[in-house]
Amino acid sequence: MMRAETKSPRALALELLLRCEAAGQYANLALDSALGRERDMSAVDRSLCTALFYSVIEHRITLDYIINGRSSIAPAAIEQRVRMILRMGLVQLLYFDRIPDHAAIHEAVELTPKRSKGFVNAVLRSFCRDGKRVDYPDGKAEPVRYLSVRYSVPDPLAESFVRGYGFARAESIFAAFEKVGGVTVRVNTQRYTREAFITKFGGVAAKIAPNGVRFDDLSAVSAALEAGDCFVQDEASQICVEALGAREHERVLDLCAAPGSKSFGAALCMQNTGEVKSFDLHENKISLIRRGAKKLGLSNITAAAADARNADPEALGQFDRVICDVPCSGYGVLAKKPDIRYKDFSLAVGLLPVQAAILESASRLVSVGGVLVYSTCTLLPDENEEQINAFLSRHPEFEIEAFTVGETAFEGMVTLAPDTHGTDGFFIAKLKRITRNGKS
Amino acid sequence: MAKLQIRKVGDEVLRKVCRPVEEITPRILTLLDDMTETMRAADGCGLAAPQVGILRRIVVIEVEQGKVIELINPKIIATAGEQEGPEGCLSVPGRQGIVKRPKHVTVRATNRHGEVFEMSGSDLLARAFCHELDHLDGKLYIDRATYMED
Repeated sequence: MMRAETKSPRALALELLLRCEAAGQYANLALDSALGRERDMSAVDRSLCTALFYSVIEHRITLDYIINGRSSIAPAAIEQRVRMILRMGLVQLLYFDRIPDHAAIHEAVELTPKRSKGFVNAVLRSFCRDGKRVDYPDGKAEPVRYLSVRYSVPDPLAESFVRGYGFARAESIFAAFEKVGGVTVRVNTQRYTREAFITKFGGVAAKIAPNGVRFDDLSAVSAALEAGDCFVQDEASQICVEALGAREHERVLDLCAAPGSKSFGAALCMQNTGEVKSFDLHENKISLIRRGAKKLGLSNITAAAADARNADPEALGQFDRVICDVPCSGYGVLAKKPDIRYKDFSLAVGLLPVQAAILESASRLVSVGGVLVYSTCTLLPDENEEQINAFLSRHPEFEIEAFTVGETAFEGMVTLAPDTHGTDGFFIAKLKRITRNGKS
Repeated sequence: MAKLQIRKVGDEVLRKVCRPVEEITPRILTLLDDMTETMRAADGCGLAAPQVGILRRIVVIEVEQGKVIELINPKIIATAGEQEGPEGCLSVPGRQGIVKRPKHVTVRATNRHGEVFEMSGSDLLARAFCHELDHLDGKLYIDRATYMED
């Protein structure tokens, strides 16, 4: 037997990127399992590998635009491995301030098979020689093409944002995705006030969510997470739970609950009293919710597998508050999941009837006077406002209700976005059931 | 001592099942010494007799520098856990692949003095036990690899 060679972080990132592209593996899962195997790799090398891996995915369209513009051979004739090496080299030249250009180029050439070393060297060096200039398409003449190349989003996604928000706002959102960093936790308020938590673990109070604390990364709170003193939840999702406004001794239903953070938030708002029922379609995710609840010391949560589209006839009108965070295209979380942008755009269309069906069935479970919250982590109006407007036109027994989170007042339908709120892109609608069947 | 020629993948001898050693003769002892020398010269951490063209159930392993483990007629008697990681082979030069193996392995074997002994190993040693014992049954890690790198 031979000892396996310890891989350099760049070589590992290259193999992973090639594998993800070929097999369409989920980026985060592929990376986690590969880093798990490289037990001898140092922390510095791990973080370089991680940063390279995600940056190449995030900027792929931009990088390919540069490569295709500078290649001496036909773009389609560039071998996949060589193209990936060029992407990795370019991403370092463009976005990695602490890696000197000559090092980025040298390492790229090192990884390249002999026959293509000259080619890789030429493309990267000519890019540096020209001052790393990128001639983006003209934003006025070709707005969609410009956004696509500049922010590395496929045309249909760029187009839908332009349609929904106009060119300037679309650019502002895409630009903000690149800047959103850090991670937000929700404090286990059964154990700590937010002030006490910050005193003990550091971090900065979230701007809107009253129990959120922001960190640059999770290293400062890994022990607190393990102990159940807090859990990871983006501020947008925390705001969504605040909109639900669960109170002590109420009955709350969380459809599409996994991994459970909204259930946990509601259960904490209820001071571990009353009842939170957490349903998710996928049986294997239910244990995730149970484990999380146990860790946080929450005994008012019961989790079970159920299809949110089929309302239990026994439970009709039984819940004070129902929340459904429906499956969606996910285009609000481009900052955290850079690979989501390349998903087949038409899949989002297939989700529309599912979302409508879940909203419909959720609405039947809400008691008169009760609250229904509908949320998504996307910014496409079709999945958001359009769904709610269509629902309201069918259901006069519901109306939109404004809400306040901490000191911030929201109208009943709100789209949170990275450029305006510094959160993930997220949609929340708070609806109130005013009568039994629409006739008051 | 002598350095032996290592057979490479494609050589039919690597695909044969080896016969047990019935008697520890001076020839067997010489073979053990030669195998260790060959393994070290090739910078390997394990070598099985079929890799040098001898169809006998004999293995040498050196996972920890200076601690050569000689196994005659070895058998895996217990395994536990699981590990997945990269592995290479002197008979498959220039390549490596990801292989799932047990995390802990116990083998029973005979030593060069004819005494039966048991030995347990974890991580790389457990991997080496599995990899080398596979050779004795004509198996190569490339048959088991989840995928090959490169």
